[in-house]
Amino acid sequence: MVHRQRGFDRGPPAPSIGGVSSAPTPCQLCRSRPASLHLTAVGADGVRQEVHACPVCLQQAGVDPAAGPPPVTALLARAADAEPAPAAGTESAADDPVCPECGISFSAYASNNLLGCPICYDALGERLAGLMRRYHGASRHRGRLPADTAVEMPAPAADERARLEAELRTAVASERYEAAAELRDRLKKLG
Amino acid sequence: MSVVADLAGRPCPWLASPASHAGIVISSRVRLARNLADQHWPRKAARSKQVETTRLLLEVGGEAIGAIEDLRLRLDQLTEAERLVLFERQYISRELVGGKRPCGLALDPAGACALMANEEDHLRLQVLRPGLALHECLAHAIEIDRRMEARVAWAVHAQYGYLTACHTNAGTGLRASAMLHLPALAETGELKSALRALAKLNLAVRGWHGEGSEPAGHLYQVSNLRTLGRDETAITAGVAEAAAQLAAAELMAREALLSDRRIQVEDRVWRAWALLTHARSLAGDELVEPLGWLRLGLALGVLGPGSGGGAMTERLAWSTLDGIWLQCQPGHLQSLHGTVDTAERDRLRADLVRARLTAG
Repeated sequence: MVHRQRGFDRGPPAPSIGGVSSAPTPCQLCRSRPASLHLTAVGADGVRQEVHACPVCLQQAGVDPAAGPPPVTALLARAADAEPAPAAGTESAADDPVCPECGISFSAYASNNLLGCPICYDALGERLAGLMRRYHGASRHRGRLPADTAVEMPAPAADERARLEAELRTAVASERYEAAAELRDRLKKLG
Repeated sequence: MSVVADLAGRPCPWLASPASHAGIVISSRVRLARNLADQHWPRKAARSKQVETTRLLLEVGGEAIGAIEDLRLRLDQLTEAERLVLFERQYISRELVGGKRPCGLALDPAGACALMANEEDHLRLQVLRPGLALHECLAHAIEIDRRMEARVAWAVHAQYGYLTACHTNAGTGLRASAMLHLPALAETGELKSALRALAKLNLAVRGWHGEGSEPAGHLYQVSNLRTLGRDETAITAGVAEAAAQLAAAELMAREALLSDRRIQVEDRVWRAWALLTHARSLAGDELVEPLGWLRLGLALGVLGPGSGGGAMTERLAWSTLDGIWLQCQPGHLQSLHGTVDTAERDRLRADLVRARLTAG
């Protein structure tokens, strides 16, 4: 298999007067971030395959392009596991939902990673929800909200314990012993 | 003199080495991303709406952080050199340097809080501190967010929390990051395994100017990738713990270098000193690596007070290295010395470095 590594892009170009940057190719593994590695593999049978990957996905896959030719087969397999985009011309309304407020479609979002309005999150439905689950490994917000928001986000006791334990480790590591003592007492009260 | 030109001549509040961990952890930053509830977001908003939201957020955000009028800036009305200065001080992102659309920046008087209006999201609220101080940054950022919430309504979802233009920021909208100097881990070959371990913890490691850059001068920025599913304190604690562990590993690697390869380390430091005190022309990328070696030399006692290296090196101070690092960047040079071509700028840079390192 022949590998041709096309322009390992060293990030966006340095700012220049009047410079205009073009829309980046999205990473095939996460379908979120712009790709910086563009690899073309040509098999013995002449079939060409392309892989586009971002630095984060390469790092998570344990790939260091500077160390030698990346494992194309492994990267292609990871890309195949990612959410498949609808083939051109075959999208149905369900495959490629469109936001009724701002008009952005899921396919448009997948190509440049910017939504247009709050309604998009519900309008783009399960397609966007799937991206959220795969990227964050979670599907529900656990943090703070504006004081007057009516939405209730209960913090389960297990989450509270894990949060306090993480804070305690950090406080000890940074020698904030007073804060660490207070955290230890709060953990004792949780039982 | 413009407000930004005046800023360019001053030290940067979040760059105060050695700060913490023997100068290894250079700075901490917490960023919150927010969007207004009843508006199209920057990508889809009409230009007139972008002007209006920029004005609104500069007013509300500026008040929340105590920014004077002169430090509530319409970035698209500044020169590119001025925007570069703000980028080099980490107050604005690379995206806003081009200045192609209405956007703004509000800075607090201490230079520790920076609010960007109309970037990828309506608001990017940032708090910066020297050294490892992520929890303090988070507490301050949340306080500012609460003040703004009293006047504007953010876009919030029952399931996904704070909504952002890219799904990778939704939930808390929080990006906690620490900038570290890791030359010893790089020299001992342990850096790659350390970075792979971070990737397994869903932490990103990038070069010192954040997303899309490569490491220069062994300067790395560690940050969380995920913003949904854990609360702000847990996310911040994860980054803080990783930064503390990396700093501890770097300290051990420095001890190992001094023990096993002292002559080679001193040689690299002194070669860097010789280059920077004698070069007549220095491109920006020629400065970063030798400057990194001087940082390491100062931390290890090869340079600086009591090093026995001679009068000039004994006077070397952390503030000198910080000042060189900041004010030898292209935007700062252009702002402080007028518009110059690349060759002239490289000569100016070399002159500045020599003058500061050899000052009496």
